[in-house]
Amino acid sequence: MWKSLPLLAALLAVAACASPQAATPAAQQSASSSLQHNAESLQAKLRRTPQDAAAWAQLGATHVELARVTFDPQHYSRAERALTESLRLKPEGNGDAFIGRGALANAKHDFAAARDWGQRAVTALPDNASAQGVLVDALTQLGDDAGASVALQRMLDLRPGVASFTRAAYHFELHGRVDEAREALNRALESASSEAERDFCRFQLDELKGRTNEEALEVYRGLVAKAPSPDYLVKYGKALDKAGKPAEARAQFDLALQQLRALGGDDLTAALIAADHGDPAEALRFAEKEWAKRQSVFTADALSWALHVNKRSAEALQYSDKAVALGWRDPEVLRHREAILGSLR
Amino acid sequence: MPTSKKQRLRRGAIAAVVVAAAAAIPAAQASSHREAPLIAADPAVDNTDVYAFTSPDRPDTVTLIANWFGLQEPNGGPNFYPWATDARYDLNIDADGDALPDKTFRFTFTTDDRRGGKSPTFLYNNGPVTSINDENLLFRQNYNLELIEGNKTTTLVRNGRAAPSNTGPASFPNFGTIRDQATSKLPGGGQVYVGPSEDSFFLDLRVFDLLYGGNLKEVNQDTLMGYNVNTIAIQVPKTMLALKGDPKRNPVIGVWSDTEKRTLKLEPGKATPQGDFVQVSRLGNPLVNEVVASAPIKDAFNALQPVNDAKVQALLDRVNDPELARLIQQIYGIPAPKTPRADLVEIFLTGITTKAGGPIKADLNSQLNNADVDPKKFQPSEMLRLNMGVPVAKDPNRLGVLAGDLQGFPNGRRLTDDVVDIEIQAVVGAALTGKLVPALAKGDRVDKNDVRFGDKFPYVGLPRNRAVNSN
Amino acid sequence: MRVFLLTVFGLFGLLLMGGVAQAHPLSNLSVNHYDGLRVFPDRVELRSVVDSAEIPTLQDRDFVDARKRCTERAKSLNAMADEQELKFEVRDADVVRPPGEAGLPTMRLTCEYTALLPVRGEVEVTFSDSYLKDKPGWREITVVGVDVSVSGAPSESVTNELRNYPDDLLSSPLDVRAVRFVAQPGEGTVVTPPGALGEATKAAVGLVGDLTPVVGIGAVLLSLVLGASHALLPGHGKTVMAAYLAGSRGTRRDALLVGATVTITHTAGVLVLGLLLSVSSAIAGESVLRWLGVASGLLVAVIGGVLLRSAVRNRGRKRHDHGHGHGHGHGHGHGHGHGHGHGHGHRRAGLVGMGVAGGLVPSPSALVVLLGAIALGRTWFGVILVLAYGLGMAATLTAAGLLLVSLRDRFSHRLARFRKYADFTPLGTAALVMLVGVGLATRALAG
Repeated sequence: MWKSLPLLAALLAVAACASPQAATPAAQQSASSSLQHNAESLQAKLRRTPQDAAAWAQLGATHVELARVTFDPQHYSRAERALTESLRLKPEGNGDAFIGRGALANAKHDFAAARDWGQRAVTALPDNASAQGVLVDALTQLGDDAGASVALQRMLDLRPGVASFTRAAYHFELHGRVDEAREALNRALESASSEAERDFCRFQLDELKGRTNEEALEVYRGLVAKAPSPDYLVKYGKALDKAGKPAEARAQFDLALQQLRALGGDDLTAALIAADHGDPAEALRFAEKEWAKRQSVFTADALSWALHVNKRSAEALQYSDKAVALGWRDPEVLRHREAILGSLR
Repeated sequence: MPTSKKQRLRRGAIAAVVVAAAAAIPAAQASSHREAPLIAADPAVDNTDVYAFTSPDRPDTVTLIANWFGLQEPNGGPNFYPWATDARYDLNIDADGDALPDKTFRFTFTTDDRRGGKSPTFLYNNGPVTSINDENLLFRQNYNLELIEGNKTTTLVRNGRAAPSNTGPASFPNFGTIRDQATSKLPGGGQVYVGPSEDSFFLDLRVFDLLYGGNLKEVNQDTLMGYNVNTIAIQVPKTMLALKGDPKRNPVIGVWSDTEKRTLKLEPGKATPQGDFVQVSRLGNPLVNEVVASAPIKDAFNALQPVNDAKVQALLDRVNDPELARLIQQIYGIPAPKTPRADLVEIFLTGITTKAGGPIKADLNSQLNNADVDPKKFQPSEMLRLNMGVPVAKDPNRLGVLAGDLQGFPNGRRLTDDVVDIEIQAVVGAALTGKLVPALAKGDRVDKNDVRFGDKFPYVGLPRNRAVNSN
Repeated sequence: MRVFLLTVFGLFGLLLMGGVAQAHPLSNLSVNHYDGLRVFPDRVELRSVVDSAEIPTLQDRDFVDARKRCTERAKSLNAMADEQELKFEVRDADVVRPPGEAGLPTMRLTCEYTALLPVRGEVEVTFSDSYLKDKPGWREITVVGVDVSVSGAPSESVTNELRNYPDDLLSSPLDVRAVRFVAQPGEGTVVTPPGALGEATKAAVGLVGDLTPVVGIGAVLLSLVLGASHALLPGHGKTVMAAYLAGSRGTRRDALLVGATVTITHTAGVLVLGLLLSVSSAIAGESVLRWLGVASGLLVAVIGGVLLRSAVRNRGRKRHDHGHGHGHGHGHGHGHGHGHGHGHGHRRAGLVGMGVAGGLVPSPSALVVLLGAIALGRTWFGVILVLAYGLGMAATLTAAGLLLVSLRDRFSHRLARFRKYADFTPLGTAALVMLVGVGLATRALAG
């Protein structure tokens, strides 16, 4: 190997000075994911021109997308740093960075902040579909259905495509319009240009169709193996329960709760898990905390269920009414509602 | 023996580290918060380039070429690049100068998927494909071509076969044959090709680094080398395009391409939510987004109909006072010409003519020069303008009109025109002075495409079938 | 001193490398993998590290013990040497559970495997690791040869075996799941020192490439620090030199002399070897290094021998003087004076020899800096850096020498009552010097 020392030296030189990329040879090769590819070409561009605020913003937004499809939360911190850099270079009128910030805030379930970033993005880039998308997501979660609908229609008219069609599907679903939701997802599938996008559409179509318990077991076992997020753990746990494996199911619920307690996260999810599988008082604390932040169909459902398991079904009913007011007919939501109504009879 | 092994290793040096990309997970983070894709690119409907030129081998015809879906990597394998089936691909002609299309060639696609099952990794082709009807070809796309003239719609091609993506030498041992078979004759003379091709555009994309203080001295590499695009090429008699069918009296046409997609209406609730077609992409002059339009108006511009261009002050401002000229002044000390830039307005918005009061003393390619145009109805708008009357240059100059070759860009656009260098020169005022700015003479230092263009229709290079950077 | 320097180093490395994250894994969801292959003439050894963050550790309820897990893990390893499959046997297994975020445990599993692989001719080896392939995380594979030459795969771990993760926004996390390399009998791999030292060496090389005045000065300073800390590493005959200086009643000037000699010898050695290596790849750097090591050891041994001889003579003379001392009173003084005077010529030579021995073996990192500079077409700057490197080394060695001399001077009066033993000091140190010299030579010969 000493023979190749000059080579080694040259390599080291390249590694250390020419580009940080050389230290990570994988980067050039894992091009099969278009998002990853995107991130890499932005990185290359920024190595040449680190002053390019727009490229930093796009890199940040790409990391938010990557976090979503790979479930690797390290992308969130990368997104955050890239967006901070972009805003440092161009604090005003930096629409791309506002979009990225908003997407990141949505991903972290800080919907009020996401709404603010979304509004700034729309001001800076009035004809940009992604800016509208940030706003749609935030307003939906904050419970502003009318606002969300307006932003979504604008998004659809600006750019009919995967991003707007999948959001339309969700809108239809929340309004109990399942056929239209399916239609929108099919159009999204037709427009999809990457495998990740197609996977998302197919997954949602299957969710809409409903899965047999075997299918659910298989799908969620796979998902939990990749990314043990509390939501997947709960779904997997429920499937295990139905399959007559309560101990294994319990382990999933415990893991989800443990994670949420230790590392924090979404109080809404925590409330629902605690209500079914943990401590009712804790569930109510979580649900009330989230309701204080946002009054949406989701928090209304969680609060109604937490009240119910705390034997306060009469109070629960008004929140359950709110949860289904738009027409949302999610099986879990209906299960909660029936139990509440049943206990009041 | 050791030699061969070493060679093999050397050849495989780049591939020596084999990696698999992280598997994507469909994120459904809970019923409570569904994270849908946000920054979803839609390359299938994104215009990349438009060309329009008098056909060198058939000077009584004009060839129009429009490309979509840039940066296709011909890695072979599972990657292929279909046309969108929910979109309209349009090539528009405006001969009377009112910025509305007199004629639109509209292509719409259907997919004939013979792969069976839903598996996304299922093969594109099942063995080598030697002809366009080879039964090994499992994923096929067909197109309809309609000619729209006002309220009249004529179908020119029904169920034409688009050439498939070139997935590699093993799958397509002779793509030339396939391309010939995918080239159809048009009624009334003319022909059309729909399918992949090597990206004809040549430039060093890094030239735009200069917007961020990058160094022009570092450029010299065709960054699009090795990539493919989806191409629509159509060759029609000049009489078909000229105003009143008379290319002698009315030699100038305006050309642009656009893509439309059908939106979706949230209300009122119908069983099948439908909406109008909206324009999602548009292209006339090359690099208009990079050189003229800026980020805030880019989205608006893509949705904007040419007839409304003159009403968008932000767009006019950008043409009259391009940022690029100021940046070049900062970095290279080449003084930016005085604003407002009436010369650029001519190049991009009216065509070069003495009849609109512009500074360039020539009549070249404005519809105002057509004998039968009503000047009162003329609307400045961004499109590629071609004077079909200029004879084919024997020895085309890559710098086109700026170098005295009147058949080149901005009079239409030939495949060999070096539009990056031309536009940089134009932005620093070469069209005003009639002299090239020597400091920028080398431009992006990429003067021609990496593959030779053909000398007959469809002229573009055959699509690559080797991975980018693999040779 | 050592701790201090290493800290300085670490900081330097951090500053220069643009932030090396010291934090645990990329996220609390990641499972990170490192496979380090060492190819011997008869076998492959594999160190396989799996670093699980908080959540996968929580999720991992089936864990019983490290050995069992390592046995299971072996199933996801796939290695082929030409057409033959390699079977990895667990040699050793270990697990530690460092606490992570929110007091949750993380898990670091280290499996040591061996597989038989006779490397008689050229062998092409492919290796892949598909353990927990769906989990997000860092994946890294390195290959080094031990008395075997390997080519085609990286030899150095960017993360120092998953201990610190580079955190550059403009590069993507490593995701290497397979490598292919060729092994054949020959010289082994030279690995730059791990950790801060390696990073700093890289940084120095990097600075050479991107030369501005500030960067230039930075690179020179860094080379000084590199040299200084290189001399702190064991195996530089510092003890010998110190013992020599102490034993031969060296002065401060002597210490400086040794330092100067080290610098000159080392710089010359690196330059000669580096230029030879860059001109011709036919010269096997390692064997040159080995012979230089032997020469250095022998030189030390010879000096030790000379010292020993003169010490024995002196001792004899002193005895004699002592015997007469009762009568003459100044006899001792004379004897001392004589010994001193007699040793003078020898001592200068000895000191220079000591310096030559200390600087004779070029340090690999100095070589890397020089060769990097040559590769980038900045040979002269490389020479300056190597000079700085040598100066750094000399500074440490001189400082050590000065420290010892001053310590000895300060404490000598307290040692007075041990005076009778002091007579043995020159003898003992001379013997020690010779012994160490022989040891160094033997080690160089064997290594």
